Amino acid sequence: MGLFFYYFTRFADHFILIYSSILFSTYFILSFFSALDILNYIRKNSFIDHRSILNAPSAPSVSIIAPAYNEAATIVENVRSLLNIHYVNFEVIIVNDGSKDNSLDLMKEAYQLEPVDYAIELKLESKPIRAIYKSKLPGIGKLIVVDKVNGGKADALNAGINVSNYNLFAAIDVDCILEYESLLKMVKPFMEQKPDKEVIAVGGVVRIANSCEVRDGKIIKVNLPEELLPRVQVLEYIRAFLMGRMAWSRLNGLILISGAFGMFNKKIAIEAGGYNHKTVGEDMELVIRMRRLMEERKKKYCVVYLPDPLCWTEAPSSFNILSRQRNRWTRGTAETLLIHKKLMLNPKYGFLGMISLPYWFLFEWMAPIVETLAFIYLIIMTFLGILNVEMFFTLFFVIYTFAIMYSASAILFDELSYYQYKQKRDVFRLLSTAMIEPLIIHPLTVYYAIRGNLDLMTGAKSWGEMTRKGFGTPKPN
Amino acid sequence: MKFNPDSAALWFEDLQRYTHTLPLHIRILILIAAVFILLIVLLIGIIISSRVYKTKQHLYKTYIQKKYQPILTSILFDDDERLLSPDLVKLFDPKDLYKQPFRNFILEELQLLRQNFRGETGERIDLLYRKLSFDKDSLKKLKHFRWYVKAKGMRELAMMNIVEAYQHITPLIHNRSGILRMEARIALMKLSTNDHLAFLGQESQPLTEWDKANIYSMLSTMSDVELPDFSRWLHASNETVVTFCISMIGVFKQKQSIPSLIQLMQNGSDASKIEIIKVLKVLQAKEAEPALVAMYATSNGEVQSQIIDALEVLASAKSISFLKSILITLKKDYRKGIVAIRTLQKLGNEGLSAINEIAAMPSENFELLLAHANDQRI
Repeated sequence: MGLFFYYFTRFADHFILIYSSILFSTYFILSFFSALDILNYIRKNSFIDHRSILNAPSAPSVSIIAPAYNEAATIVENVRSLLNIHYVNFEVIIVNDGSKDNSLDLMKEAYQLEPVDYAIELKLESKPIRAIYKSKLPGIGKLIVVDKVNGGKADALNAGINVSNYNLFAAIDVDCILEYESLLKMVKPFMEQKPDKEVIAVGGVVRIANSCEVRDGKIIKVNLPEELLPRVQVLEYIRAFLMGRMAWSRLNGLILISGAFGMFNKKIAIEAGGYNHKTVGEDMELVIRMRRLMEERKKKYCVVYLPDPLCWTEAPSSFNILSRQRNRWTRGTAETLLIHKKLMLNPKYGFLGMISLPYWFLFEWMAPIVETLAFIYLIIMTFLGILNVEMFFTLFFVIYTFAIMYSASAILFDELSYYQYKQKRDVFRLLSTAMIEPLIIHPLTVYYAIRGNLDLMTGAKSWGEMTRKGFGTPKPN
Repeated sequence: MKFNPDSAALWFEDLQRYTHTLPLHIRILILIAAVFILLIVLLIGIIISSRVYKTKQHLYKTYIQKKYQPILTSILFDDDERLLSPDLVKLFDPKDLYKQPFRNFILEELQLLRQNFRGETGERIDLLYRKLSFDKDSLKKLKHFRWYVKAKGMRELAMMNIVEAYQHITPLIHNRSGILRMEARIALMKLSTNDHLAFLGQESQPLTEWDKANIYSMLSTMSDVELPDFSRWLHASNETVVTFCISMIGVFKQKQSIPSLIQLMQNGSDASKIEIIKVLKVLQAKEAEPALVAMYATSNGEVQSQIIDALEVLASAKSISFLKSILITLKKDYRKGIVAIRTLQKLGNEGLSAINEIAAMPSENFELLLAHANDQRI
């Protein structure tokens, strides 16, 4: 027993050390690739006028699909904002996913909607559609409202795809605020695709809109969130979007495009089977399935990621809502990885099977579990009185300094690329947030992720309602 | 409290002694943490320096703007004779004139102005650009090894109409960098004196839709130039050049090219076929109807959809039986069915009776399609 215990503790010590070292190294590598790609992107963009697309005879048409569930408080304004997007050929499809509130009535009244005889081709499975509405008002011809039986976000998106008329579709959260040129920027990679390499999906950076000033559905002043929780998420988003996904895109290994805003090749999305109803991580699952399809067909393809801030969203500002969000994210990741376990370490699926999915398994899904187990191990060691205090504190300090350094790099990335937070005090507030985050917020997000895993094991399927506060309006002078 | 170097040295010695008693792996970890701390300090330093640099740049720009705005306004907009004088450079402080930040700033200002002004003011901007020897700077940039510096130089030369740069830019349309090729095309279009699209014949790389959009965008701003006959490139070896020229025939309504298009449609690639059918629809080339109907059966799904779309405008009573057969056999692709019904509706009584005949047959979805086609709001 004593010998077993000795070897077990030796193994645990080494495992923690090796796991952390690999994790840190991958972060370093990803940041490096990301920096290169952002630099290249910014240089390229300095020669680009996205407005060229507006007059181009070949500008692709886009269907914007926005599922809405109990959005009565903001739906009319949000639809207006979507209708005012700066683009040429597009339609806006709002899918009322069986809302229990009066969202549909409000839209009917505001846009004078009337039912139309729409022949819907059921290319993807979805819950029954009750009616399709168009506006009587002149100038609102781009709007299509679909009223359907509640089936969840994936189901609503599938219904929207069935109704859509164009070859590209953008899936968007109805309460997101899009940047003025976001659609132009998203369409460009599809226009740049070469005949031998198809662009199957494009994603962009999502930013936190808490404390920003919003007028008529547009961000007029970017502010750093006043509250700590959203401010921590600013750091998280910069790290994830600018430093993580950008690098994965450069390596052509990106498997997640945020559900808040992404654009897809409709034909391939349909051939891949559309959004999966059985997971709460439908955004990631669709990208993996589209990639899987292309790999199986042995066709060259890419998933492009743009570092431009394209879409603004409200981050949870209460621990309760954050817990539900993180719980759902964990379940979504785990469910998706389980659905596609066949691809894991399968050389037939190239980079996707050999690198992307194993990385997500080891360092996205497993990281909170490893952290928790390490913590429990430390407690047991302390109780048994055999904790190597020097080792513990040194390791803790290394991890803590690494976390701050990584966040400081993220702040620098943002500073040198998009320079969103211009007030002098913003840098210091972000840096102080970086120091607090690993001690206070990170343990909580690990806890929420563990709860997510437990819910996954017990079969909990809830989406986890997101109660929004709404965006701030400019203060009167 | 006074700093005592002796006690500090003692403290440091104690620390050293203590760390030497620690196991090797802990010492390594301490070293790693120390490196991370150094990096944090370095990163904070860079962030703060970047802020300071941005602020300084802004202040410098404001200072230069204040100092030279009246001079620039006067020589560019007020017929100021000093622009033509050899002493023009004397208007600028020699201390500023040869400083790179100053030159960058003035060049940026001139480019901004040039984007918004044509005619006489535009020519005065070009002249000032030359007089301040910016053309030499831009030509130098063309030889730079970095693609983005080259592209910048090309853009400046094209914007300021430096025709002599044409020969230096021509080889760049074969460059490895897509952006450089794009900038080279735009520059060549601007700087050429007669055949503005001559480069199309030399294109060795495929043109993306983005490239095409940019060429078209440039072309649409050149209202004073004579457009070429795009059918000239219909047999180019670069297929993307062919599809671009087909679409331009449609955009610029070059109806004289319709026979060449119909001929190419019968033996061209699928991409050319799709583009040609779209253009034939735009040009309302009714003579293409028999060829379109004839090729339907042997075409792929995408080409077939385009044919049905085009027939909405081009069909005559001769196509009724064809459209009827499409509707009878239609299993999926509702859009095709809806367009076919709408086309029949446009063909008068004969078309309507064909619809009635199909409606009388047992069908899963015809009623649905008919209702959609009848609803003019969708």
